[in-house]
Parts: sequence; structure tokens; C-alpha cells
Amino acid sequence: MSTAIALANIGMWVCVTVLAIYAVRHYFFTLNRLFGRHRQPFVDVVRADWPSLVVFVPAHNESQVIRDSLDALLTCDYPEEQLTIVPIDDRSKDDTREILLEYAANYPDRIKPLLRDDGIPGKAAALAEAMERYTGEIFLVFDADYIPGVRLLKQLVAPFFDPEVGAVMGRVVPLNVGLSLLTRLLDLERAGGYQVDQQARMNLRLVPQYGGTVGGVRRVALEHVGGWKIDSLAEDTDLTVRLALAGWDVVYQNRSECYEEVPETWEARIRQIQRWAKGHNQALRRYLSAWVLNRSHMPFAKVLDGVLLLGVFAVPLVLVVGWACTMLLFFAGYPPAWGVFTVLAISTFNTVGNFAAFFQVAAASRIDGSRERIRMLPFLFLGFLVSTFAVGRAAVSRASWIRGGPVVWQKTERFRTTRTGSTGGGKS
Amino acid sequence: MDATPLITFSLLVLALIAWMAIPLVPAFMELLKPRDASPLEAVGNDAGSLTYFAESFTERMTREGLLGTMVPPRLSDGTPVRAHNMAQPLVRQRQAYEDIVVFMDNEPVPDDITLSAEALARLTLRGGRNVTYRALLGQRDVVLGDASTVLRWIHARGRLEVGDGSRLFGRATAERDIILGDRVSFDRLEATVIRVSKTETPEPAALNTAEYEIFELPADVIELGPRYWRTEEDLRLPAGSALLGTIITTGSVVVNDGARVSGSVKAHGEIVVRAGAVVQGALTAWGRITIESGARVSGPVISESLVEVQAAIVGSATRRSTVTAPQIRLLPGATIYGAVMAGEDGRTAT
Repeated sequence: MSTAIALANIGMWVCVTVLAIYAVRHYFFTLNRLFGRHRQPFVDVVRADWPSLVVFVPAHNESQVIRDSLDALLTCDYPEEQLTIVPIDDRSKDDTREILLEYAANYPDRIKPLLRDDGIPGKAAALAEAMERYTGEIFLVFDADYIPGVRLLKQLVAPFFDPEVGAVMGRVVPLNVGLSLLTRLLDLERAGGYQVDQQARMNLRLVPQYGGTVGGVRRVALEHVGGWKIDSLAEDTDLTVRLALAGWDVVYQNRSECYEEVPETWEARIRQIQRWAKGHNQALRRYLSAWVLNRSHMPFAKVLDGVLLLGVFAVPLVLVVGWACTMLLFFAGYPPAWGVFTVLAISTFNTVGNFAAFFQVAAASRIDGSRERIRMLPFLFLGFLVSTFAVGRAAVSRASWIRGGPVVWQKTERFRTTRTGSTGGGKS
Repeated sequence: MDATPLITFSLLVLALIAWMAIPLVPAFMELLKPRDASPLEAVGNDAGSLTYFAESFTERMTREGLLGTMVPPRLSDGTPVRAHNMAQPLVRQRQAYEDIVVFMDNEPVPDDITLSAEALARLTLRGGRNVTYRALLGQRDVVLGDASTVLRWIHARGRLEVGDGSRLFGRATAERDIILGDRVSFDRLEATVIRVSKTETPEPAALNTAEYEIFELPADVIELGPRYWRTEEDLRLPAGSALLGTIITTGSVVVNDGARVSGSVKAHGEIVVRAGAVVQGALTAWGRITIESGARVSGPVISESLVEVQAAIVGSATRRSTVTAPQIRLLPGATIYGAVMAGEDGRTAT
């Protein structure tokens, strides 16, 4: 019994320490964004001899949204002779393929669809196959529901003039904000995640994350790290880690903003979080030891940030273990070591710690200059509970930690029903 | 049975609930009557296009008829318009001119005046000394007198010449060239070519590869791809040598006289490109980048601290480029084809 108590004591303190580190991280990043120097060295590169660019748009049953995305890409100001748009249809069962063929017929020099009927399904496999067929220096990836602005391609390519940059990530901005409580909460969460979290990592030369869309990768860098891992559940996190391990920089461009459609139902949101969590935890399992052991070229802060980034979706599991240890100690009649101090530590975390993320979101709203939406902040607690539940479920799932079955397309359900100004695939 | 403790307890619980619900009041109000539920204004329209304001102003002026033969006394929103010409010139006055000013002919702008609204010059404009412009659109050439100030933007459809000691806040653009005088401070410049002083700087020639001695890479170099390397050492390319590829170093880089790099260079330290050296790619550094007289760089020049361009060339007539850094110093003879973007402090200097 005494061994169990000792283990529970140690477990509880480990959990408290981990959670405290994440809380400090939230505060540190937020304070950096509020008072630190804003680092965006590439945002002003407006004139250049732009390199050859291939834009991939992976699609699986995206007929509701893909026209808007292609229309937007066609109006971008990137030099036409240097740009190829490659929508990838991977076994769609709706009209996606017909739409792509229609666009290819109307823009034969600019849109070159890749139609997949066999091979391994999934986004990573689709990208891997597409990359083999096209010879651009830079690859950008947009999910089919994203609507890039006119100048976005140049903005995302500009960092690649730095030869050390392996990947670039832009900022994702929800378009369907006002539809429900959920979309409003996701708008706040995205603001915190990009405006504060990603930009702080950029400011501090840590590890901004390539997010798999509104971003891109340099061909040389991708080949250097072995290409896309087709069995990864989150090819973006997987690539971020491999690039950083190989010494490449990942750059976050806060001014390179692109609209996306966020989930409008809680079911879709839970599935989205679970997918992210499984992919992240898979990357944690694969790369944690390499990250810690092969760190000779990285400063300690970058190593620590990488570990925390990899572990972010395992935190709810840590939280649950911490609660279990605490309850075991309580019901066994053994007060935790250092009595009052422990109670204070846990209480502090439960108040200040949990609110660290809220502080981050509030700061992001302030920096964005959106003063009124911050009034929704108390509802974020609801979002936090749902996320904890979803991440917790994913964290204990087999796919998170053990190589599971074949990779399949797991995409977020689309809700868009009206078009936002498509040219209808006709030549304009 | 005494109910007082129960009532007291209930009141306390209610008070606690009410206290905890206070933050939810504005939350519910925003949820039920949204005041800020539209998407963030992503993708600023002006980002990446330095002439955005000039184009908007041109559209507005065209719509309001200010480009026609007659100038209306007011715009459709009531903003007064004042014409400046040989017959009715602006005069020196203590207060700023609040009207939109249209410069109708070549009559020079008097010294020491302030135009606190936008101005439009229909022909070549010759600005007086110590004139402050809020924003100025020149339909032809614009010549700013010494000690002029532009507060927001200036655009010339021809050439833009900026007098000594002037200050250009915001955006300064021209469709031909920009000629900067001495001690001019600036934020963002864009033109076909930007020069400090009118003298053209001769371009150093990149010789055939065979005429260079191929640079021997350090022993610790890591190959990242074909002709793509990374090293932890400082690099000094000897005079007359050539590096055929792209290199990243955690140290500093000196490209000595007459050397050539056929690729891009990244340094965590500083980069110096000496006289007659040619870099056919981009330069990126965390530290200072110095491009000395007689050197040429084809690609963008990006520093996270300072860029100094002496009598050297960045970009070319056929390959536009960008120089960007928090601090930029352009010395006489500096020639940039494209854009110069100073995040904090851009200046010409002797």
C-alpha cells in the first residue's frame, strides 16, 4: 500500500509540474506578444524574381467548396508562368472530379488536376504522389475549403528566399464566425492559437508549426527529410518535427491570412480534435526520443518548445492521471506531501493555470483590435471541457500510440451551402 | 424551527451564484445580440501593394471629376477643393490648408506650407522648401524641395525626386525612378529603380565560371540537396573565387573582391559583399548586411538588423528585388531595382 501511495505522490507531482510548465508557457508567449518585438522579416518582400510554385489542393468529396478555392487561386497575383495549380481528387464520390475537369478544360495551362483511383488513400499519400509528378521549387498546400486572398501566394513564398526556411505557415481566419456559439468560440481559439501562440514562437525563434494548409514546403527540404510520411495521421506535425530535427526553419507569417470554414456542429468539432490529437500523439511517440537525443544543433529553448509542442495533446491525459493520483491519496487518508503547499499548488493551477489559455485568447483579441468579441470569453470554458473530453478520448485510443490500420481520409465536414462569388469555372 | 440559518445560507448561495454569473452577462448579451460576429478582416487589401492608397485616390478623383478640365469647388461628400495655378497660387500662411489641393500647372509650390488633405498634381510638380504633404499623387514627375515631409504616401506616375533632408513617412512610390537626396529618411519605397544621387552606378560583370577558382567548402559542411549546403563555420570567399550553390552558415560570411556566388547565402551572423563581388541569389542574415561599392546582388536582401548599400546594385532592370530590414542605410550611388522596406529607420547617408 505504501508503494502505491508513494507512486501516487510522485505521479501527482509530475502531473502538477507538467501542467504548471504549460501554464507558464501560455503566459510567457502571451506576454511576449503583448510586450515583445514582433518578428516578421519576410513580410515586406514585395518585389522579387519569384520561384516556380506548385499549389496543391487535396480534395475528397469537396464539391460544396472547391470552386471557391480554385476561383480564388486563379485570381492570385503570382506570375502565371511560374504557377501551377494542382487540385488532387482522391476517390471522391460526389461531383468533385467533374468540377476539376471542368476547370482544367477552362484553364488548361494553369490547372492540372491529379485524379487518384488507387494507391494509398489519405492526404499525405496524395501529396506524396503529386510531388513526384511536379518539379516546382516550392509547394504550397491549401485545403479545399480555404479561400486565399490575391496576394497570399507571394506572401507565403517570400520566406523561401531565406535558404534555411524549409516550411512556411500562414494564419487561418474563420469565415463562418457568426453562425453559432461554437463558431464564435472557434474564432476566439484560432485567434489565440495563431496571433499569440504561433507568432510568439516565431518571435522567439522556437518551433512554429506547419499546419498542413495555408502553408508550404521547399522541395529540397522535403526531399532532404524523406518526403511526406504516408502512414502519418497528421502529416503536418510529422513534417514540422522532421524539418526541425534536420535543421530547417519553419516560419510563421502572421500577415498571410486565409479564410477557412470552421466546424458548425459539436460532433464535427469533436471528430476534428480527435483527429488532430491522434496525429499529434503519433508524432510524439515517433519523434520524442530523437528530439531530445539529437538536439546538438538546437538551443535548449527550442528543444523544450518542441517537446511541449509534441506533448500538447497528451496534456488532458496528464490531467486525468493527476486527478486520479490526488483522489487516491485523499481517499486513502494520506495527505499529499508538503500538505498545504500541495493544496495551494493544485488550487493555483486550477484557477490561474486553466485561465492561462484564456489570457492568451484575450490578448489575441486585443491585438486583432476586435474589442467586442472578447465578451464571449467565459463561454470558452465550455469549449475547453469539450476539447478535454475529445482529446482525452483520443489520447487513450489505440491509434494515438500504436500503429493502427490503413490510413483513410479523415476530413472535417463542410457546411457551406452558398457560393461566395465563383466565376463558375468559366474563363473570365 | 428557526429558518434564519437556512435563509442566510440560501442568500449566500444565491449571492455566490450571482457573483460568478457576472462575467456571463456580457457573454450572453453578445451571444443573443451579436455586435462583433463578422469574420476578422483578413488579408489586408493594402498589404503587399504599396500603391494601394494612390490607386484608391486616383479612382476617387476620377469619379469626382478632378482629372477633367474644370475642378469642382467641392467633392460629393462636401470636402472643399482648392486649385493652385499661375493665376491663383497658394500663398504662405500660418495655418495648414485643409482643402484637397489640385496643382493645375507647373507653378511651383511655395515654401513653408502644410497641406493637411490629399493633393493632386496634374502636371510636373516642383515643391518648395519645407513643405508638408499629407499625401500626394503626381500625374507626371514630382520634385520635392529640400526638407519636405510626406506624412502618409506619395506616388509619381513619372519620376520622383526627393530633396535633401526630406522625410518620407509611409509609402513613396514612382512608376519610373526615385532619386533620393542626402539625409532623406524613409519607410517604404518602390519604383522601377531607386537611386541615391543621379549618377548611374556601373554594374560589375559576372564572368564565366571557368574564370573563377571554385571555392573549397569547409570540412564540416552538410549537403542538404544538390548544391545546397549548411556549415557551422564563418565563410570567407577569397577574391576571384566562385561558390556554385546555396549555403547556410551559423557564422558570418564575407564575399571578397571579385568573388561570385551562384546561389543564395544565409548567415546567422553578418554578411559583407565586397567591391566587384556578385551574388546571383538572395542574401539573408540575422545580423548586418553590407553591400560595398561596386558589388551586385540579384535577389532579395533580408536582414533582421541592418542593411547598408553603398554604391552597389541590387536587382536589375529585368529582375526586380527587395531590400528589407529594420534599419536601412543607402549611401550615394546605391541603386535598387524594386523596393526598399525599412521597418523602423531608413535613411540615406553620406
